[in-house]
Amino acid sequence: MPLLGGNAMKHSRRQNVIPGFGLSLGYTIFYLSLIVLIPLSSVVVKSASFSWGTYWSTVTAPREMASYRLTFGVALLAATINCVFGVLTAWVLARYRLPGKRIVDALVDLPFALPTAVAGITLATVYSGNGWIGRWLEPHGIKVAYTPLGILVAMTFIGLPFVVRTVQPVLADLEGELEEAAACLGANRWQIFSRVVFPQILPAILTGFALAFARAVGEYGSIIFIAGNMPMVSEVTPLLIITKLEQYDYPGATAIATVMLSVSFFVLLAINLLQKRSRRFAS
Amino acid sequence: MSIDIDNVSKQFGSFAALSDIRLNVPSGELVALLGPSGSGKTTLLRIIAGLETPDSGRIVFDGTEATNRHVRERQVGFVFQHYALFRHMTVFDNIAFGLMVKPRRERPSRGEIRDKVFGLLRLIQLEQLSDRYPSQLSGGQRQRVALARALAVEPKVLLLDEPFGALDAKVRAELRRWLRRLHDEIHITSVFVTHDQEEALEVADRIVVMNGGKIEQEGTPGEVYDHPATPFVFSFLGNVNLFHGRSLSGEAAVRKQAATVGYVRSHDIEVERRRSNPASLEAAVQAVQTVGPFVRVELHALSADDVLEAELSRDVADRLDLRVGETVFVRPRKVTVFAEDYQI
Repeated sequence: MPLLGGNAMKHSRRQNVIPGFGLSLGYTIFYLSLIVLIPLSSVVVKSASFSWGTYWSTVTAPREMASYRLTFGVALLAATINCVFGVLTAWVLARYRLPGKRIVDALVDLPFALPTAVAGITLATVYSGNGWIGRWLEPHGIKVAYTPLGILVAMTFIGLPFVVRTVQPVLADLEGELEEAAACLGANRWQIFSRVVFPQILPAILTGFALAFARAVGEYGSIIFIAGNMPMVSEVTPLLIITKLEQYDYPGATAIATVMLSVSFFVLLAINLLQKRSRRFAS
Repeated sequence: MSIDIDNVSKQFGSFAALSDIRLNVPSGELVALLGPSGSGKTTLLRIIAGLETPDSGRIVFDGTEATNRHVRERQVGFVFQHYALFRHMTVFDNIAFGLMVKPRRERPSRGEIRDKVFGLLRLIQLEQLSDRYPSQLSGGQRQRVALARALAVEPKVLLLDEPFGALDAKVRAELRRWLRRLHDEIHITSVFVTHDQEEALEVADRIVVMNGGKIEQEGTPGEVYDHPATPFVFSFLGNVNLFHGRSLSGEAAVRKQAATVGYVRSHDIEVERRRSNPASLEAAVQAVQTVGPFVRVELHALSADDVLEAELSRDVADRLDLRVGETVFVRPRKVTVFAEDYQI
């Protein structure tokens, strides 16, 4: 290797301390293209058969707008709920010794494994007016099944494992000494959690949030069974896409899909940036 | 503040970490707990801090019982071996932490906190690094930040758990000299745990040698080194050679008993080419190794079939010019005999 190469040469050499940079970059791009980019770009191409005007009027129709609000709003809410209770669950699993902890640990993953239709039907049964849980809620005027609240329940159900599974290992690896140091300095339990533990698990929580959100936005199978699917009220965007497909309105379906794609992409990007900010100390 | 440790015992499962420890740390002293790993020294330190509770016995601070006082209220500064800095906070925020978590009515104003933190940063000579994160500091700098953080709340006692254990030799030597100077300035009652006898001898006012959950000896560095109370203390504080009774025969200071064992430091062994004393033993040179400022010679005492290790200064070694396989004469300059001998 020449010691005095050109500037560009020197620059690339300096970056590649780990060998195989070219190969791994090529592989990553190839794989991502094959699995993600090519299928998704076909969505964009398909929707391009619309003129700009038709495209715009299709994706901004009132029924569509209502479904975006519902889908993204409830998905954000569900991901937020999952963050709170997922962190609690992860905390319990990482910090305490409980009888049957292994079983609880395995239970967390069940929403991953269950076919979504099964989850939807089960939730709809349990939360309907005469179901196990629904019959206690109905007299208080709380209707869950066949309302937007049902969508929230379904989205929370399928998103739970993401937060637990991203936060739990980070909590388990946290040095106990940090909390001891904080206690020696006079911090109470709440201060130890909010100032010492929380900032360290925040990046993991954000990752879990992003995953749970993404999963909830794309969820279809379980939601259609519990949502009631009333246009303008409880109709999620994925269902709208399916409806259009069933009517052979492919350009319409893909047009809505492009909106979902771009909104999801920007939300995930924002979460990623937030996460980077929350990890700035690790530079 | 003085610390009294009163008959403290601690058991971990079937392992007795501490048994019946009694110790007094006078106000303003710098005391070293010295011992091998598993000797209970860290457990004792953590019990003083309140991070661990004793199974029996009492901890008394300045005449007031503190055994059940929560670690938050003990006003101890604790420095961990691996620094335990909050890595998501800057150096400034780390040091200010103890002041920021005070209840509002006790908390100093922002300006006062700032002055206090910068005062401490001057003390640890890291003023210009106040907005760095711990990951951007070297090990020695991190440990100084940890010390400043512990001092910020003006603790009554400073406890250090192997504070220099994770640092390289040069930084360690610098930092312990710095700690000694710091202690001479602020005179805070301090207890530090170490397994490095050199560190204990250099830094501490008093050394408490621990082994197997018990205190073997307590005293000034001079007392502990020159008058070790037990064979364990003797061997833990430096290199040791055993002279069994038969090889000591003729040595005036030692009783002629076959069972007697004499303890001799490696640097107290004289090596000669000619027999100058009838008590000298004949020995074969097995190995010669230069270790920095001195030369280590491994000798095989022919009459007693013992292996001895002598440490010679460079000029003595150069004069002798020893070769492996040569026969020389060795003589202990100073022998320590323990009345009751426990085999080590």
